[in-house]
Amino acid sequence: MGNIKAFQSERHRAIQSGVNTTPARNSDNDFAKQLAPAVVVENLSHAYNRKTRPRHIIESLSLTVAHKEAVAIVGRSGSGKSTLLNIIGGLEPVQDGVVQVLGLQLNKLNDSQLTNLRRANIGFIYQAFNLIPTLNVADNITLPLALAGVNTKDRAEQLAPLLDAVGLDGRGEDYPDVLSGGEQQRVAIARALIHKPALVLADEPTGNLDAKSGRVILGLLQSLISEQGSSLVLVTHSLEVAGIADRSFIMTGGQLAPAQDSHINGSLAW
Amino acid sequence: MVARILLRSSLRFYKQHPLQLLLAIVGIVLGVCIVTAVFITNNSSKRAFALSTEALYGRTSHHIVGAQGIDQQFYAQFRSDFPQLQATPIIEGHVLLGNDVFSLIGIDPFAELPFARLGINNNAGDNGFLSSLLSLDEPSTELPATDFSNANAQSDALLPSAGLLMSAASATRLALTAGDKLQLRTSNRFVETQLLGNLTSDNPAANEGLLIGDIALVQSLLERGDIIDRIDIIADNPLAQQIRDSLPNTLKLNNAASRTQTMLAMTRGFQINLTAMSLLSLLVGAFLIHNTMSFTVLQRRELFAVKRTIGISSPLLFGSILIEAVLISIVGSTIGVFLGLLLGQQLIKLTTQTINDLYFVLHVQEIWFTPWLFFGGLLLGITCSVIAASISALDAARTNPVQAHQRSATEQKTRAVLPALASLGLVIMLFGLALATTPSQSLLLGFIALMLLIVGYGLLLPFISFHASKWLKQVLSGLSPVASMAAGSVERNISRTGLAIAALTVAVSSTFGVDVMIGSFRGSVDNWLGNTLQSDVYLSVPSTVVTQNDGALDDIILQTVQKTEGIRSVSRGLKFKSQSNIGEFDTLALVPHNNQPIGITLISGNTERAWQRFVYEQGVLISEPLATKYQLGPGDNIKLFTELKGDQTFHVVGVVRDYTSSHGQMTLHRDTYNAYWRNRADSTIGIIYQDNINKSEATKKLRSQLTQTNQALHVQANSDIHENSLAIFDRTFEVTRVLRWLTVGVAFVGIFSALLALNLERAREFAVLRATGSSRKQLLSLITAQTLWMGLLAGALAVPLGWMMAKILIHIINLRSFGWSMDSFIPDGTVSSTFVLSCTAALLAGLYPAWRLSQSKIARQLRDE
Ligand SMILES: Nc1ncnc2c1ncn2[C@@H]1O[C@H](COP(=O)(O)OP(=O)(O)OP(=O)(O)O)[C@@H](O)[C@H]1O
Ligand SMILES: [Mg+2]
Repeated sequence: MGNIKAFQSERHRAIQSGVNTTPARNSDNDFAKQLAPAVVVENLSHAYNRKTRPRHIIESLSLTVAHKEAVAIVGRSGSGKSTLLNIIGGLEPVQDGVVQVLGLQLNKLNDSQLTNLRRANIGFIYQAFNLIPTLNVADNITLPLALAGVNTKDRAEQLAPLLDAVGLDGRGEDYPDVLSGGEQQRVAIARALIHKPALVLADEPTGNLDAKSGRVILGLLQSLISEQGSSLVLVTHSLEVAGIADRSFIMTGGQLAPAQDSHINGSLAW
Repeated sequence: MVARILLRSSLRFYKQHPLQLLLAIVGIVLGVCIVTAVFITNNSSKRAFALSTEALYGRTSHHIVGAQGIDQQFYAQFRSDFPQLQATPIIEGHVLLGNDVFSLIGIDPFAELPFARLGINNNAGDNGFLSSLLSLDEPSTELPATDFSNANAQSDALLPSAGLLMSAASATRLALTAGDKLQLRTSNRFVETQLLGNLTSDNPAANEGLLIGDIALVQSLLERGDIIDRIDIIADNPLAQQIRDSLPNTLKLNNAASRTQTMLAMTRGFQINLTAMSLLSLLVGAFLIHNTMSFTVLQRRELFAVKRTIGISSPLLFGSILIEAVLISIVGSTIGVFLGLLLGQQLIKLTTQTINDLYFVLHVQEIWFTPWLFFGGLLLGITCSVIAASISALDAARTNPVQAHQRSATEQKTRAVLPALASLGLVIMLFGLALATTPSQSLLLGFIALMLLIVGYGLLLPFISFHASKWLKQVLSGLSPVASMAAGSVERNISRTGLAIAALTVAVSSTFGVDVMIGSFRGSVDNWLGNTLQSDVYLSVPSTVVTQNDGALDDIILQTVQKTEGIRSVSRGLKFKSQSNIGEFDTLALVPHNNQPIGITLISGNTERAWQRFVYEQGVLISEPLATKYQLGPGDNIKLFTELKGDQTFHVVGVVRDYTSSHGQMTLHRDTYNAYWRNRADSTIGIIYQDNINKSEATKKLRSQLTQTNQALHVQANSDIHENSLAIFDRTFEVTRVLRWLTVGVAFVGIFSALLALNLERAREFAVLRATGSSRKQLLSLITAQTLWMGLLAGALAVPLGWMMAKILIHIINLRSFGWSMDSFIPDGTVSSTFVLSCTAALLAGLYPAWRLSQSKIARQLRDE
């Protein structure tokens, strides 16, 4: 994985040259992150249709994800995994309880602060890839940098090693719709990681892929994240996928419980 | 069963997208509204015209007319020659009552009855209007009760002092009742008479704008002396021939119908122009209806694909889309027709003004509206929508369901056909241009050429937009990622953006084209006025009607002018209506300044030779519309019906530029006139001052000298006439301007719905952007940049199309309908205002979806598949 090495040194250069100078970034130097957990969720409750027919999806949920830690969440469909992930990513408002991401309390941030947090420190990976069909691979991947105002030259410099790392060297000019599912997800992973986020949120990243390409993607994700030193919250149905995490939780009744070996061993309690 | 489910699914779609439904309907409403309104306007004025001719002519089969009226003595002689014949004398003129123009008609109440005009119901024993003349609504004590049914009664029953009748509607409007004084302004003075009562008739609209009185009274009011305008008769053909043979050669027997024809022909050009504008609006409207409908289908391609996969047959799917289109268009068209009715009432006011300004006095009281019009409007809206929907429905129903799922497939397919579409567009355009340059008089061909040009260009647009956006994206990629993305999204979504750009371009280009057309027209008229109005000051008798500048100036005026110092030369003109073998035309008998061709611009013919022949050889100058319409030019002959010598042949020696009347005009030298017509007083005098004279001082002095002559007189500097003429010109094009703004309205709705659909469709994409770290502001500026780019593209592409449209409007449509040639040029500011218009429309249209998207919940949109 020599490519990843190259990518790593790129990353340090980027940090040193102060590319990401958003407030969230400034308040989180590497040292602070070492100490602070990436995610702290305390007593979180969340309901949909609160005004009409409330459906309580999350109730008094607590979770801590340490720096550089990878946490997997499994659970029945509709149990609220995506909802939790969206809340952590600042895409859903915090209704009740406290959610701290990289030391910032989400319900105290306004929209533009949340945007800055995402732009600088969070990378999203979705089951449905969610690439922008009207942008080519290179533009899709460098989108977070473009949004942060990084100039073309620097973008290209950061893109090259990463494209290489995800095995899409030479595909930069292609548009998403000519790529296979596995290739599209590799683009999505590259996009989630190009700005070296401190936290990566992945919602069933292999859900749309066959077992073999799923495995490849997962390996890629795992190695990139550990080399980057990012924390990871991973939502999945797959035991094998959950296996890459340091800790696994099962989501039931709106709360998280540590996944037992029995779950992992295939009794499939969910 | 399945069809019901499909329809319910459609209903659900529109329930979820109410704005889209609204826009689809509004697009149809506006399109149908414009066409209906113009249709109503044209037909209402035609109908009013028909009614008033019917009112004025009744059963009249023929008129006896003279070149300049008929001596009253002839009438007496004629009656005794044909004692059994139904014949009656008529005088017609115009007067002002307050600010309203009325036609003042003098009739002979005794001879009148059989003619059944003015709504007289001519049943035996019922004298209709005439008896109402007797039994007045409010009997006036001043009026001696006379038995009018007795045809032998003395005519002093209606003494000149007795008064006039007007329609109840007019009387109510002017708050007049029987016995009230009427202060009338004739061409040169004020006269007073009284209102006798109301005209009653079966159709009140027919009598609108008429004042009726006994012929003797009207004769004295209008100072006609012993001259009557015409004799109306009722005769079958053999009898008519007998009468014709008996007439002296200075009098003519004409068919009543031919007179009506001539008058109708006068407004033809104007109405054709109006129709042209409405067709243009229709074309733009149809285009936009097509767009709106295609969008509602395009947007659901994936939904349709799912239905296909489930097993719904493609004919069934196709049918369900069509039914949906029919339902939507029924709603839209119905509203459109009724709005068109309202709009039509406003347009009628504008067009009546124009007709009165330019042609003849017309009172439009009734709005022409029939059930057929309603069905016509409905049919129009439905046809346009169904054709539009079926094109995209066919595509949706045919597409392989797997492909329809993939947005990229749609785009790829679109991209693949772009070059083919563009080539087809080019071919159609070339065909249109070829048609446009084919020499012909046919208006229809002109319209077809115009349409082909627009359609062909429209097909070219997506191709151009695609490549321009691709290019811009590359140029910008280094400079501004957001801007580059904006251009890129136009390129990558060309199946949608292409439609929106095409719609905006066509709509904006039509306003540009019309602006250029009106501007060129105005500029040409302006130039022409500058060249023609060579006298410093013009004297004329104030006229009641703009078009009828034919009052007579007293001799004392000319004498006063000739005695005035500081005047270099004087021209004199006598305006009259001359009858020719090709119709009745305004004619000017001219004594030019020093017999020089001052203020005359010859279009064809050698000026010097033509002028020699005009002055010394009784040559006739004809105006351009006359030359164009009747294919006349120097060397041709024209037969005029002269007062003294009957039909005489004159040589056309030149064609002059003239924008006064689209009907056509002629100019004779006064010496020529005097040889064939009885000498009459001039109606206008033009004065050129000596160079060293202070013109305004001199005019002031002249004015004060002329006041002593006691004749009502207009003393106008050439600049005043120039301005007035341009004001009338502007009034004429008021209707066109109104229609143009409506077209812009249609365009706006079209682009709005296109952009709305486009942006809402991409909601998920925008949500991904937000999740990836784009701020609300960035998203807003992305969408705004995208719409701005579309607006700029549309503006840039609209200019060439608009220019071509203007060329066709000016050199083909206008030339063929009015007979006027003119230079085409782009008026100042039209290009920039085209850009402003297209960008504003695009930005306004993009604003709402942008705002809505930036407000919406990211997580929610990410979930939406
Ligand atoms: N905007 C919303 N309004 C109402 N209900 C919602 C909304 N979003 C999600 N839900 C409901 O909340 C519940 C949790 O949804 P969520 O997507 O978090 O589940 P999940 O655990 O991710 O399921 P899956 O494994 O199938 O992806 C579901 O029952 C869903 O129907
Ligand atoms: Mg989920």
